[in-house]
Amino acid sequence: MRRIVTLLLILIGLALMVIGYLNSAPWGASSVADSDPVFAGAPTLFILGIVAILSAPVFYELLPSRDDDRVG
Amino acid sequence: MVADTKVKKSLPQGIGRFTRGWILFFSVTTIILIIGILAFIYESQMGMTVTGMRDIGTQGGATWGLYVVMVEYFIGVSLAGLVLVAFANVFDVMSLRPISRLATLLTAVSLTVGLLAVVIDLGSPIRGIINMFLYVRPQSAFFGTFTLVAAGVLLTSLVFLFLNGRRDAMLLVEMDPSRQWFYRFWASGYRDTDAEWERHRRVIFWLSILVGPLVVIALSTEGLVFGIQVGRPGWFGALQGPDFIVLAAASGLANLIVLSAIVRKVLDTGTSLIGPIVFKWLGGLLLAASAAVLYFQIVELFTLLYATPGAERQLADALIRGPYAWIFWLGLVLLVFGLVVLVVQAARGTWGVTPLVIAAVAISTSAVAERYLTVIPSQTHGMMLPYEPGYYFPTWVEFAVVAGLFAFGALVIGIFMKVFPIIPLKRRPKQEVLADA
Repeated sequence: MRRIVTLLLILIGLALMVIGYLNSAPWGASSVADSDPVFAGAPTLFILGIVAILSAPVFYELLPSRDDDRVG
Repeated sequence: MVADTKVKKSLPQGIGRFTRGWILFFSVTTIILIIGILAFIYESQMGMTVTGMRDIGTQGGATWGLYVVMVEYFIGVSLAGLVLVAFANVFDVMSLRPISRLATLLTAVSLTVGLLAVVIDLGSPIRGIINMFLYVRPQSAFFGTFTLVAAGVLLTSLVFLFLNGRRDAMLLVEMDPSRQWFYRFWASGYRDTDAEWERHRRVIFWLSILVGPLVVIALSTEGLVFGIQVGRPGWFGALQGPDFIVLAAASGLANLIVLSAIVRKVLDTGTSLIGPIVFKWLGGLLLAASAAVLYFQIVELFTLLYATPGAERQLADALIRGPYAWIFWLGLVLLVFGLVVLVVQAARGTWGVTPLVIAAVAISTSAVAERYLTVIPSQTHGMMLPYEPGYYFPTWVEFAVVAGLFAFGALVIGIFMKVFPIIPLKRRPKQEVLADA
C-alpha cells in the first residue's frame, strides 16, 4: 500500500510535469504574440507535478508498514 | 504549574526558556520587521517611485534594484545548507550531523526570504503571482526560479526538516506537556522502531541524491536570468550559471558558519554539541568555495577588460574606477581578506571559531557586493542604445524593507530554537537526550 501510493505520486507528478510543460507554451511559436499557454493554468500543473513528486517521500515514511512493530 | 516549570527546565537546548538576551533579540528583530512592513505598505500606496528604481535609459536608472540583489543573495545563501546536509547523508559524514537541522532551516528560511523579495519587487504582487500561475513560460529562466527553486528546493528542505525532526518530536511529546499537540503533530505517529528508522534512512539517502542535480539546475537558472540576456553587457555569458553556484556556496557556507557560532554561543551546551570538527569542515569548504569565487571574478574581469567593444568597456570603467569602484574594490578586498584568514587557519591546522566568523562575515559581505555589481551596473552603464549612463542608489524605503527581510529570517530561526531542538538529539541511549538539558 505504502509503496503503491509512493509510486503513484511519483508517476502522477511526472505526468503532471510533462502535461504542464508541453501546454505552458506552444512549441515552435515564431513570435511572442503566439506564446500564451495552450490553456491558462498549464504552468501550475508543472508546479503541482513537482509538489507531488516531492511529497512522495513523506507518504513513504508516514504510511504504516507491517514491519513497524519491530521496536528498536 | 510547579510541575510544568520543572518539565520545562529539563527540556534540551533552552526550548521554552525565554532569557533576557532572547527577549531583547525578539524585541529588536520584531521592531525592524514592523518598520520593514510599514515601509512596504508605504511603497505599495505611493508606488515604486519612492524607491531608487527608474526605467533604464529613458529615466537613467535601473529597474532591478536592491530587492533583486537580495533575491540573488538569499537564494544563493540557501544552496549551501541543503547541499551540505545531502553531502553528509550520502557520505555518512557524522561530524556534520550537529548542524544538519540548522543548515536545512537556513535553506528554508533564506529561500522564503528570497522569494518574498521577489514578490516585494513586483509593483503589483498579487497580479504578478496570479499571472505567473496562469501564463508563465517554461522557456523563461524565471520559470526555473519559481518552479525548481520555490516548489522544488523549498519543498525539499521542508520535507527534510519534517522527516528528520520526527524522532525528536516524539521524544518531546513526553518532555513538554504544554506543546504536546505540536510535537505529536510533527512526530505524526513515529515510534522509533528499527523498521521506521531504516525506512527513514532510505528516504533521506535517496532524497539527498536528488538534491544535488535539483539544486544545481535550480540555481543555474538564477544565473541564467542574467546570462541569457544578449543585449545587456556584463550579463550575457556562459559563466553566469556556474559563477552563481560558487558564489552561492561561499555565501551560504559563510552564513552557516556565523549561525553555527551563534548557536554554539547561546546554548548552554553549545560548545560540546557543536565541536571544533564542525568548524574545521565548514572552514575547509568555505576556503575551497571562496577560492573558486576569486578565480571566477578574475576570469570575468579579464574577459571584460580585454579588447572589449564600447558598452562592455564603459561597464568595466564604471566598475573599476567609476561610481561602482568603491563597492568593487571593497568586495574584492573583503574576499581576499577572508581567504587569507582561512588559508592561515588551514596552514596552522587549527580552526578557531572567532577568526572563522570574521572570515565568514567578510566573505558574506563580499558576496552581497558581488551580487550588487552583477545586478545594477549593467543596467546603468551597460547601455547598447545611445543613452547617457544612469544612476541608482536605494532609498530608505528599500533599505527598511530589506532590513525587515533580514529581521524576518532571524526571527523565524530564533523562534524555531525556542520550540524545537536546533541540534538533533542523540539517538541512543535515550538517557543521552536528557543529558543535553
